[in-house]
Amino acid sequence: MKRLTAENVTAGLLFIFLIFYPLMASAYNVLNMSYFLSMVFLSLSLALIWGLAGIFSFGQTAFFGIGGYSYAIISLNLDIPDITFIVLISALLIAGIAAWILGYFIFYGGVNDVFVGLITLCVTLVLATFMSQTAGSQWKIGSVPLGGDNGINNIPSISIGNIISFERNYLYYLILIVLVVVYLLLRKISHSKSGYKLIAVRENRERSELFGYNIPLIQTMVFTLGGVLAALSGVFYVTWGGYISPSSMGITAAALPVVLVAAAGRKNLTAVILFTIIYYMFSQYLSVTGSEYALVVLGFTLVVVILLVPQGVFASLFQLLDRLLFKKK
Amino acid sequence: MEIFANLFNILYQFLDSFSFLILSAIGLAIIFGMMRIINLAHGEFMMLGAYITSACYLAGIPLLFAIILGAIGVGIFGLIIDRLVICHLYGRPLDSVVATWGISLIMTQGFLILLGATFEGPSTPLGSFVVGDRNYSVYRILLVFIAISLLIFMYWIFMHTKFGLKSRATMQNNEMASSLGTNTKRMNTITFMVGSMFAGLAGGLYAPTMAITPSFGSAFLMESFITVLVGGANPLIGTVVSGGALGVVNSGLSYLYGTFIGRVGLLIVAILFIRLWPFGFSGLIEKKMMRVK
Amino acid sequence: MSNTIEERKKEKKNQTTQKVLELKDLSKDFGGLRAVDEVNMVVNKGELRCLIGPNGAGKSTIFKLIMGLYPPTKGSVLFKGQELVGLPVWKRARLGISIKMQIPGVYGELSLYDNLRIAGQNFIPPIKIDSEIDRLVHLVGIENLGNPIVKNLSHGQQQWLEIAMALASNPELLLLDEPAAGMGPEETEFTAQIIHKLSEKGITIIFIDHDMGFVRRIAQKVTVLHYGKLFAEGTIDEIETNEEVIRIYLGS
Repeated sequence: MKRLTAENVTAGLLFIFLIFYPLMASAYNVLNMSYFLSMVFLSLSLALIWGLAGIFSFGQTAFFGIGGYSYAIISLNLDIPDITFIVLISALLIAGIAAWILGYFIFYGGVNDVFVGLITLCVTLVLATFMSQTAGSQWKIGSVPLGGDNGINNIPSISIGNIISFERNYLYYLILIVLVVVYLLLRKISHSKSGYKLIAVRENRERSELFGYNIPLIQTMVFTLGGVLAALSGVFYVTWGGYISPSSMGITAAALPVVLVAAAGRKNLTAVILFTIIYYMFSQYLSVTGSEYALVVLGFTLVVVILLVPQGVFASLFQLLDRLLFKKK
Repeated sequence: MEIFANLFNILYQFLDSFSFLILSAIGLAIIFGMMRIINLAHGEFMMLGAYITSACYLAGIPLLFAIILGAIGVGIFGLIIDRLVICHLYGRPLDSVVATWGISLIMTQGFLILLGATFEGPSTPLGSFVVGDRNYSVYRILLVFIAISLLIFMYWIFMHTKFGLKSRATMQNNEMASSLGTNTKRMNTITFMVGSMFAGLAGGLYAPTMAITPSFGSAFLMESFITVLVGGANPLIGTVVSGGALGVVNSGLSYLYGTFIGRVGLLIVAILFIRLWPFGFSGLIEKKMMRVK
Repeated sequence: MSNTIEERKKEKKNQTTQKVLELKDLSKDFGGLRAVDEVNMVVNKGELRCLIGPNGAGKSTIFKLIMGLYPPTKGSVLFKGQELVGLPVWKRARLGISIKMQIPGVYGELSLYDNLRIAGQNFIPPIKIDSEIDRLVHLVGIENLGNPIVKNLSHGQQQWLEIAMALASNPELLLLDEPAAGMGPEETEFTAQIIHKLSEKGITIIFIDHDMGFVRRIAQKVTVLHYGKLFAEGTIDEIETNEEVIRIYLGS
């Protein structure tokens, strides 16, 4: 399956780099990189549904939030460290069900294209706005207060009983392993029968229906998978930082994955991973040095990309390198 | 007497909400209705209007003229943005969403960096009056009249001018209009300018009532969007009907449960409309008109 | 999936004259306009039928009603005796009905191989898909095109590719809306040969066209539509000598 292309080479180099990263970098940097890698899943979820299936969703952060909040609420209520993996799966399940319901509502209602983006944006904002006003003490699930704008704190990390607690380097490698598995799975899907189903939906819905594709079902299924991936991002995020708040679902947070995926090249998974990591490293650097320029640069990048490189910066770069270095058949 | 005071309060809330939605949505509705372009920087265009108005006011220009200058300034800004960015994105709604989001980021952060977190703006003129035991702002009642006047003005332009006729033709059928020689590209640029001007006007009008900050626009963005979505492609009928309906929802829910729930209510209405009637009120009304024929 | 290629090939061998398509009192209104007006039509197995009529006569609308792109206002569409009204589009495609519409229906940004793969995936088991694609390409006669990105093909080549794609499901009923539109005389002749070859293989074909020369070349039976109503039906000779048809259809 692996051929010599710019994308594959980059992916290989990237993962080798990430595997050896903790040996080269300080504990502080490894901690940061764990955060960056957590956010990659969010970008990948959008690359899957938008890049592959053509579904433009502004709502991935909604599932990010559902995943994070679900994990927080369940784990803090149960307070049993042994079963945090089960809590993780439950959080993903809850997000999956939510995504399925929303997907059914949207796609079986015949809503498509830009309207999906608008509806999902509204859903994200409903969640964010609603959670923001849960500050009072009456707002709690079980024994866990929702905390309004302050969110939920002291979320426990994933652990297997007293044997391993996934923190620091352990968390880093857990996230990395899951990332590699997800990446390989997504690449495999792209070239499989399922992948072609998604492409059929993306390229021309009406025409594909005439070739026997059950369009709303395919859309709902891939939307659910996207929701689960976004929730995975949320769960890793809360187990990394121990904290979640409604700002993870606000309008800026909702737009960020769209920006990253559009700028990187939404049809190329490797480009999306690379761009997400680089963006977060860059904005981390900028915020540490005390600068608001990150968002301005981001804004400019967006405009420039849409006008000049609509296929995405890294995706176009890969294509260019392929033509120069690896001649295609 | 108390009943009257309460009724007045409810009516005031509704009209206040209604004019807020109308004024913030008109510019967006014109651009969306004519060009099918979604300008996510609309809130920032309003912010620019507020800033220009405030700067002029501080320089000693009377408020009325400062607001007009704000509108014109943003109109010119809209022309520049159209020539630089928007004209390449006609007919590409998804790309225009991403690109205008980028512009929105640049503007918000740019203003934050250049002018700081707050800016001195005009204070609310014309004072207040009392009904029952509550104070009401005369200026905000004036805004209601301005909103209604604006709608009447727009109706006149759409129905009784050559520009209005061309606009309606373009809205109905973009391809046909361009083959009839209405020069759609030029129409698009003018439309974007006019839409931007209305945004700047709204920003200027609300400048005396709010803090002048780079995130000024975010107070309007979602509401104006939802008004346009629910209203549909016809900037006149759509905006009025949806402004009215959403005004009821928003003011009603805010009155009963507070502003957060008011906002949530608006969003839920938007979700339902996109799902059930994606062409908004305009689409519903047009369908009814088609059946009559 | 009950309708595999093997099962349908067996069905074809066991056939006698069978009604493949039957339209009963089929009507479609758009607002106040009646586009299709109580059309009753039967197409038998293996027929090569042509629908003709002036512009706006309702021909393309009938095709869309058969495929299920919108529901009829009244009436039935029966495919091999099964009522199609109420079935979603994708289910009708899976029953063995394929269509090539007037507007180009190829995936321009994808390669020729990918186009055929998408068209055939729901009907061909994964192991056989490559050989089937090869067979289709040879059947239609586009094997020498290679595997380019489809938008780089000429208009005519895209049309033939689309016919190949419509055949990927091994359909029993093939609907072609102006298959030779925009083609020069040589390409039109090539298209006629393709359609003739497919008909000989036993596929029931209904096509719409305006070019009477093309119709004369291949049609066995002709149905004339006018203002949504079925106006006349018969062999091409009968139709061409029908005075009323000549009157409504001046200049064929």
